[in-house]
Amino acid sequence: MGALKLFAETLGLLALGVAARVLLARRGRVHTLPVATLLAVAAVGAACGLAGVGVSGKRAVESYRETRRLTDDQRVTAGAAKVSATLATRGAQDALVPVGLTPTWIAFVEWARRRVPVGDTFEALLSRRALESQVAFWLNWRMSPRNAVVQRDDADWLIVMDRRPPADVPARSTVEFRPGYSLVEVPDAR
Amino acid sequence: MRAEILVVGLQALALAPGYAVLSLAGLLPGSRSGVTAAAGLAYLAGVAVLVLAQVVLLPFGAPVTLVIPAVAGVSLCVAALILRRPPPPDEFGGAGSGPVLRRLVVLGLGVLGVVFVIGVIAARATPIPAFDAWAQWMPKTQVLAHHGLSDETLFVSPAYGYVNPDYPLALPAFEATQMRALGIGDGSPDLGVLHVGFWLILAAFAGALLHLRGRRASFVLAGVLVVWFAAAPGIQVQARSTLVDLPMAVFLAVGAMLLVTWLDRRERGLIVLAAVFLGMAANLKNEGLAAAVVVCAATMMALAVARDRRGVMSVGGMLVAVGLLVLPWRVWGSLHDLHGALSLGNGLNPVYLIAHASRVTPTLNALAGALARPGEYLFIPAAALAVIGAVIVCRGPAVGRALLHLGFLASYFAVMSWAYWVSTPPLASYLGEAGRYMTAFAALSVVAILDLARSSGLADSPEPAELR
Repeated sequence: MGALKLFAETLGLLALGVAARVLLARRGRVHTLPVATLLAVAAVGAACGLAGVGVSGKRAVESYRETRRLTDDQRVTAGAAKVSATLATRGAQDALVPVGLTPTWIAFVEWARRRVPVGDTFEALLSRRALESQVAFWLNWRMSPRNAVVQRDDADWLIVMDRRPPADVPARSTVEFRPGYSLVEVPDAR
Repeated sequence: MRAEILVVGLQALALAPGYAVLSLAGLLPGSRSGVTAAAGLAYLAGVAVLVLAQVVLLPFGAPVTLVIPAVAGVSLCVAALILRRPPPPDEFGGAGSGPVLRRLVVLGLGVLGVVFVIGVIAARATPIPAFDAWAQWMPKTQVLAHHGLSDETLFVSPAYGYVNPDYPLALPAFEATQMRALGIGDGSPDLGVLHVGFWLILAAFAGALLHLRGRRASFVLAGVLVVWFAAAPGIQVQARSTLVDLPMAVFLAVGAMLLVTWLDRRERGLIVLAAVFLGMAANLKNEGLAAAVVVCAATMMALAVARDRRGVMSVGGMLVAVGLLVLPWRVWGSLHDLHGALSLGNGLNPVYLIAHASRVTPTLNALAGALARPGEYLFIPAAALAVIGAVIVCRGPAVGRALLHLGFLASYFAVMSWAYWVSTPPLASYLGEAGRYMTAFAALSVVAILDLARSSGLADSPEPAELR
C-alpha cells in the first residue's frame, strides 16, 4: 500500500507538471516538461512549506508554554515522555514520567546517582515489576558514566529496587532510601 | 538561556576551521557576500573536521578534550592563511532576479528562523525526549566525556546490550566535546541544551544548499525547497529528538550535493570536501556508512557507463578516504568483538534471506508508506521522483543526472529495506520508526530536485526553453 501511495503521489505531481506546461504554453511561455514539473513542484512546496512552518511553529510554542515552568528535577525525567501528544490532556508531572516508571523509582535513581562516585560500577537488583518496565534502561542512563555490570564481583555498589537486599550483605554497608529501595556498598570491592 | 547562548557561541567557533577547509579546498568565495553566503557550508565543514579529528583518535586512546579540536582548528586556519588558495573562478550562488520573489523567500526564511528559535527554547524545556536518544546515545556521550574509550564497559558489558555498541561515535563525541567545554556535569538537566546543535545543523543545511545551488538553479526554488524540508513534520520531530538520523541525513545530502557539483565542475576541492562530508555521515551511523558507499558506488557506475575512467578513479579514491575515516572505529570494534543487530554474514546468506522473506513485504510497505505520508515529509520524496520522471520521459540532456539521482534514492531505499530484512530484532520494533530511517531519503530528494533544476536550467529569469 505504501509503495502504491508513493507511486500515485508521484504520478499526481507529474500530471501537475504536464498541466503547468500546457497552461504556460497557452500563455505563450514555452517550457520543457522538466521545467514545468519543477515549477509545479515549487508551487506545491511553497504551499506545504508555509503550512509546515505554521504547524511546527504552533507546536513549538505550545510545547514551550507547557514545559517552561518545570523544575530541574522534572526536566531530567522528561526522557521517554510523549510530551507533545500527552501534555494537553494529562498533568505535566504524569506526562513527563517515562513509561512504566514510578515517581518513587525515579526519585530513588536520582538519590543513588548523587551517592555513587563517577567511575564506580554498580549492579542493579530489580524486582520483576521493575524489570518489566523501562527502569533498567532509565537507571543505566541516569547513572552513566557510572557503569552497570552483571557480576557481583565486578560491582562497587548494588542498587536494590523494589525488593530486599541480598542476605549476604552486611547491614552496615546498606543505606536505605525507602523500604525496598537501598544502596549497598559492596564489601572489599575497593 | 545562558547555556543556549554559550552553546551557540561555542559552535560558532567551528566557522573558522570550516572557512579554512573551504579555503584549502579552493572553494572559499572571493567576495564578502560570497563568504557570508558560504556560512552554512563552512559551519558544517568545521563541525565535520573537528569531530572527525576526535573520532579518528578516540580508538587510539585519546580522551575527549578541547585540545584536539583546538589544535586541529588552529592548524587548519594557519595552513589556510599560509597557502592562501585563490577563490573559485565561478562562485556558486547567483544573485538571481525578481526582487519581490526574493524578498518573499527571505521572509519565508525569516519565519523559519523564528520557528528555529522557538524550537530551541522548547527543546530546552523538554530535554532528550526520544527513547533511543536517552537510552542509547546520551550514556555514550557521558562515558566519552569522562573516560573516552579507555573505559570500554558500556560497549562490551551485557548490561548495555541495547545500546547498539557497534554504532560509530561521531554524535557522542560531538556532544561530549560540548559537555566538556560548557562544564555540563553528568546527569545534569542542562544536557538538554545539546539540542541546539541539531537546529544549527538543520539551519546550516539550508544555507549550504542555497550556496551550492549554482547560478543555473532558481534562488526562489532553492529557498522554497529548504523551507519545505525544514518545516516538514518528520524533520521537525528529528530536530527535537536529538537522534542521529537528522545530522546523518544532512552530512550525507551535502556530500552528495558536492559530489554531483564536482561532476559538473571537476574541481578537486569539491571531491575532497565531499569525502569529508560522506566520512562524517559514515561516522554518525551505520546507515550513514552504507549510504555513503551506495552514493559513491552509484556515481562510479554512472562514470563507468560514460567511459570516464579518470572520474571513476577519483570517486574510488574518495571512497577509500571515507573508508579510512571509519577504519579506526571499525578496527576497535572488531578487536572488542562488538556486534549489532545486523550481521553482514546473514545478510549475504541466501538460506537466511529466504527463511526471513516474510519480513520483506511489511518492510517495503512501512518504508514507502513513511515516504508517502504527508504528515512526515510533505510530498518531498514524491516531488523528487516526479521531477526525475519528467527528465527521463523527455530524454533531455539531464537524463543521465536524473538516473544518477534515481540511483542514489533507489539504492538507499534498497539498503534500508535489506537492513530491516536481515536484522534480528522483531520487525514490529522497527516499523513504527520507519519515518526517521527515511530522513536521509528526504534529504537526498531535496538534493535531486535542486540539482535537476540546475541541470535543467531553471533560473529566476529563465530564457524560454525549446519545446520538447
